[in-house]
Amino acid sequence: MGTVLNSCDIEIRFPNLKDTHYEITSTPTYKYNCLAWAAGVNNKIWDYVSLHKNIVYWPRTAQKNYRLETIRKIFYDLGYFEEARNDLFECDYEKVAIYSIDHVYYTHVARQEKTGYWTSKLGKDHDIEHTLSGLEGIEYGKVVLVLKRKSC
Amino acid sequence: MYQDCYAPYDRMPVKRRNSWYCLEIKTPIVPEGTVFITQYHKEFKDAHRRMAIATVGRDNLFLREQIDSNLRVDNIDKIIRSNVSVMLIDKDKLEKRFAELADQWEEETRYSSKMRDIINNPSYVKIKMLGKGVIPMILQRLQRNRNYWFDALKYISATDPTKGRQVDDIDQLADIWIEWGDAYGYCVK
Repeated sequence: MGTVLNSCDIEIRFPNLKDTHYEITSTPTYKYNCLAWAAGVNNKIWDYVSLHKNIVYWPRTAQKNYRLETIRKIFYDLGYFEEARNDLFECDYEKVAIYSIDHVYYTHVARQEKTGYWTSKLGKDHDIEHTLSGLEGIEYGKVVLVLKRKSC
Repeated sequence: MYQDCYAPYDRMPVKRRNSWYCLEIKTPIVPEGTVFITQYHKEFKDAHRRMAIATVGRDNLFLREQIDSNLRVDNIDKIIRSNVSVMLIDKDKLEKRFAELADQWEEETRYSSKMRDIINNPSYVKIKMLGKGVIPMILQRLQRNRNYWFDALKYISATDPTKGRQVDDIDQLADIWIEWGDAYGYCVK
């Protein structure tokens, strides 16, 4: 369990949320992070820094860093072969969006839902449903890459 | 003859004339006035354990006398200098300092998903330098608000009670640390 945030706390750190759609969709937890959540996992932290072998996961083929190319490779191996031209919802596709501040290291990853909105795990706290621009700002930077794969 | 003995220690703080030599102690904050018998090593791998009696002062320990006749007073300088030191400090100050740093760390890393950033956060690193006195405080926080305190606990305690244990869930990791704290007298529960 993490500290329960209310909307005011989130909007202070992500001011764009105030003017865009968003909704808190889970209780806080430290059991998974944004990368895991974007990959559809909610019971492991996806990171190369190990806490314990069953708690943290990092793909064996991935380099041990947070570089954009490494994150891209991770999602490539999950079937996200294509770079999407935009963040609009496409019926037969699933999309993930990668945020960065410096265009070198990732800061955050979000996953698109069938509604067209996006879902994100905010660090150790809540999941939220949001628009991509809602999380852009000082904390996560901007969306620098959107990848897509064919839906199953 | 001697009251309130705490054992075992690996090392202990010592005041020698005007110079302070302090060694890391294993147990939690020891009350002022406590007298105890301790063992220490001349060198890290030295199997020849030496005994001494020490008394807890206000914010330090005093080496009163040595029991081991092989130990000469002028040997103490050499022995102590080879060890890393941690002082006993005022508990209220320590709690206040810990709380400041812990709140800062939690706030600054609240939205970070990168473990490297979380455990390398400057406030977190400073907490690790506060020494064993903060272990009970960390464990209390861990009980109240689950967070990634494990790296700090391992570093400060120089141990890992989770090693070799079957852990399937991060909450189990936390529970093992809390049980360890309770077993070692950090008065968590």
